[in-house]
Amino acid sequence: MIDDKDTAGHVWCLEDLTEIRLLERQVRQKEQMAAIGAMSAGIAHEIRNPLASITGSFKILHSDLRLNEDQTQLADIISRETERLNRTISGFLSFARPPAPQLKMTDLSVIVTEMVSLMRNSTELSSRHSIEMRLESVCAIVDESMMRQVFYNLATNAFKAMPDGGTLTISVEPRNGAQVRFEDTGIGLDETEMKNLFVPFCSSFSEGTGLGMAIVYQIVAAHNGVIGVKSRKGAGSTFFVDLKK
Amino acid sequence: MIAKARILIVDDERSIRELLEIVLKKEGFDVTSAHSAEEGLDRCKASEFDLVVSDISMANMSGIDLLRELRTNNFSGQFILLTAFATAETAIQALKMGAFDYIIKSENFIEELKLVVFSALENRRLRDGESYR
Repeated sequence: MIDDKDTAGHVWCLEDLTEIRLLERQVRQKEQMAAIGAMSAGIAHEIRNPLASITGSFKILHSDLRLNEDQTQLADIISRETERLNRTISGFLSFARPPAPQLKMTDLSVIVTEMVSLMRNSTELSSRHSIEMRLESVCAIVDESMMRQVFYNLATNAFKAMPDGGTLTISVEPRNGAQVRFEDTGIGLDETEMKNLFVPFCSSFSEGTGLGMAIVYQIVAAHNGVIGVKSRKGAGSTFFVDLKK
Repeated sequence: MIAKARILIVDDERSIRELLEIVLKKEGFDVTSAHSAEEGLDRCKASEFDLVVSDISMANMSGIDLLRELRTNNFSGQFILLTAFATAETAIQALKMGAFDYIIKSENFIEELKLVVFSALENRRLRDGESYR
């Protein structure tokens, strides 16, 4: 039936663009990270050469001189801070020029278990923190050492996000291929923090090099995996890593 | 007669060159330096060296190119490469071409370099029967 305005009816087309928008965001993030990687390799190279000269020259001077107490303290500051710069540059270089992953089929629950026992013996874990594990034996094609680094960084990040203590729950299950989840009861993230989460030196924590999450992103991307986060300010965060089986 | 080992340092970073000259002279070696791979090549053509310590990343000609050229010109001394950062590919390439070792300019690279220099010269002494300090 046609009404008096010659309109026979309406056709509404609805399309869910959530997935497309998510993919577009991932592509933009990938391009951004590639550009940062290329730039950082150049910067790190330019810093490391003079830093090597400073460190080497200072060590020789230090061993040749007899210093009083104050001078020794000043010398220690130079040593400590140049070492810190070196650590930052080394981290930045491993981010900028990562080695190719040595892939093999590995049980992710084994990597998580090893990483947790390493963590229990480290200073990262205080008495106010606890770790719960819900592990299924799930295999994926990964570089074991790189993936251990990813899990370690995610766990360290979770403890930093729980300054007053809390529980980190780590799960491994056969979801979206193979999924490892890190769920903390910490301070959570707001929109801006989530947007800058994987960008080098944009850490919201005062300690650390600001490269931990950037390295996580890069390693997961090198495995053609996906990393995501669900978080709300004040309500904790859940990071998930999806890998190919 | 025991001669001083002759070492050539090749690096386009002036501070690194000067630092290595001081360090290696303190160890009693006869040290010369060059600010580019091209100059290093000329110096090796003009005089004999027991060891070349060269940076990898330099303008125009890299340390790897220098090593290749020297081997083509029958250079029989040892060769150590320095780099601000390591990649597995470059390390493999360098060692395949007969570099003795590969050192990253990290915070302890001077101590590491001294050990590797002594080891490279000892290796050359055993190989060629030369004696120097």
